[in-house]
Amino acid sequence: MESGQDLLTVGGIGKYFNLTQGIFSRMLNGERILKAVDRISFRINKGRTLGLVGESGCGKSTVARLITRLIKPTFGNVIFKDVDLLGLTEKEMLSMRKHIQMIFQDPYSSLNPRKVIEKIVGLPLEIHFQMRGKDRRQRVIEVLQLVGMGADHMDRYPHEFSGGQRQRLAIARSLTLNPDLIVCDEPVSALDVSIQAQILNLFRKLQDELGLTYLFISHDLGVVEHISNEVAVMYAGRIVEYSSTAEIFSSALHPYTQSLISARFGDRNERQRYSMKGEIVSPINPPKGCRLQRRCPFRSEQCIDNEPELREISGGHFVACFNPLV
Amino acid sequence: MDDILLTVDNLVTEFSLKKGVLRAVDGISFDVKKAETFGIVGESGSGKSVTALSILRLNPSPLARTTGKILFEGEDLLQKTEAEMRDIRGRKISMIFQEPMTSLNPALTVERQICETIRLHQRLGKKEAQEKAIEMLSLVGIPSPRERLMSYPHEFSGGMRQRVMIAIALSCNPSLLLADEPTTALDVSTQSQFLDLLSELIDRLKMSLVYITHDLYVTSQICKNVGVMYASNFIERSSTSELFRNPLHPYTQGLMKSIPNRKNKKKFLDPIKGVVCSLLAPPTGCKFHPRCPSAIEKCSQVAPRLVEIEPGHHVSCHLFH
Repeated sequence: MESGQDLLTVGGIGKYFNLTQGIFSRMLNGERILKAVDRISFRINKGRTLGLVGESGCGKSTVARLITRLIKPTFGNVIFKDVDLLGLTEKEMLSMRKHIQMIFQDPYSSLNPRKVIEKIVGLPLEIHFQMRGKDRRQRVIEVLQLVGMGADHMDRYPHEFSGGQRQRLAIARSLTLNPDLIVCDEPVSALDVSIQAQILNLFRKLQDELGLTYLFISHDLGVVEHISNEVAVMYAGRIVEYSSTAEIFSSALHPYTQSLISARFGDRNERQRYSMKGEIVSPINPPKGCRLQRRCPFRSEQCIDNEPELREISGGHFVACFNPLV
Repeated sequence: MDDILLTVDNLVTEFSLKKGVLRAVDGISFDVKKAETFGIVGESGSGKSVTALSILRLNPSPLARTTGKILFEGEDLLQKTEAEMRDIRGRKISMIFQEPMTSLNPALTVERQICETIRLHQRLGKKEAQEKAIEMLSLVGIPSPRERLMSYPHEFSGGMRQRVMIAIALSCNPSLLLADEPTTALDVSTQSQFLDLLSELIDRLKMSLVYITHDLYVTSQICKNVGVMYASNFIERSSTSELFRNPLHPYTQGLMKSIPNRKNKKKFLDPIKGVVCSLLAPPTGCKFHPRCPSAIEKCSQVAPRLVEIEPGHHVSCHLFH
């Protein structure tokens, strides 16, 4: 596949959790549906980085798990290299996993503490190619070197390494099979600032050298702005804004996006002007209309009855809002 | 020096471990005036949390040994008895912590937790304590405080729980508040609401604040003065505006370069190479020298001291003296 073509196209994907428990509960309170992800669509071109940003509970980690089929979606499709992942059998999906890998947030729980590094990083090779022994060790050394580590780390255990080093090991593991797409779920959030910078540089270097594509999930706007080509902003299971990184951070159109940017980068006046009152809405049985209606300073009548859909306002800039900031 | 509330003088805290003695705080000194905010900035393992716990003498003893002077309202806290410290904690000096779910007792209502502090220090009756608790919840911006008083921590969101923590901490009107990374577990918009609330409260109540964080940006929002900690020492200490205007120590500069610069966008960041040294076996001389791009020979031999280079601006680095 050439650079610039769609590597991943997610179409209207959703995940609903039914929380209703027991007959009485159902009779008294009705169905309680948690709409964690509610009709999300986006695409990523080969060699690019899409940043997915949002606050806790917005559904971004669930999106990561839906794409990699760690959780089964309630509806929608995930087209990867022209194949709908959701239509594959378990066996076919296993084979696909050579091309889509994932890196998690917590470097302390994503590596098996009871295995040595060579086994952890080499496990994908064992699963997919039944590779063992000298061949596997050779490949493991190769990927360790890619992430700035080496052969002398192979026979040690995870607890012997710092958080930053463990994250490098997790990245090495994800590279073993030469994937096309890496889904990164808050990969630097648990790291100190100076180590974050090292790991972000590593992500960049690997993308340049190996032509990787990233879905980069984070709540940290500074990191997202630095590493992404395009950005999608999520709130309560929906994408509320999508555009190039430069556009989003210089001229955000959705009030929620602007509130996040002002909260992180703005001075006191700017923060007060755009801040959303109150707290994040519960995704359980969300109200009719826009999910931000109770918090948004720009709310109007329309927002109460109707849910805004993602619309292209200007070239490549999409917003789901009846009162975008212009 | 009437308006200085807290003077920390050459504070040293050591832990006796099986592997050896770990010196988590290695001679920290700073002053906080009344109604002033002081920030302690550092990465994990720098010793910043232990510093705060040392002020309140909350480190586990006898594992931990603290020496030096901690002068609060003119009296040395390290000379006080445990009973005297119990009287001070929660009443004169309060603390809020990073993880609101684990610092609030999940099995007790908010009412129990706020009133416990109030009744312990103020000898109010049950009803009066409850009224005071409602007042505090209202002060920190909890909607419908009377109805929420009997709620449990899990019935609040993270941001709200953090506000409850502030309510508990401020319920006896302390003159000094220690805040240990209180916003790390919060979302960015909740974080900024929280910081605005904290600023407003310390203004209104004329309270002093020691704010511990790893986030440089946050110190610029809320702290008048700041000390940067690295591996148990202050390597730089000045007013916050001065630190951002003219960071002197290579570590401070390295920290600032590690954060993506919005105005000067670069593809690759300029991180500090390597990792923090082990405090059980620190390098000779300056603890930062193995990672320092400007290290000279002296740095591996002699440990630098914190010296005032410009008025109010202290640096611990051989490049400057």
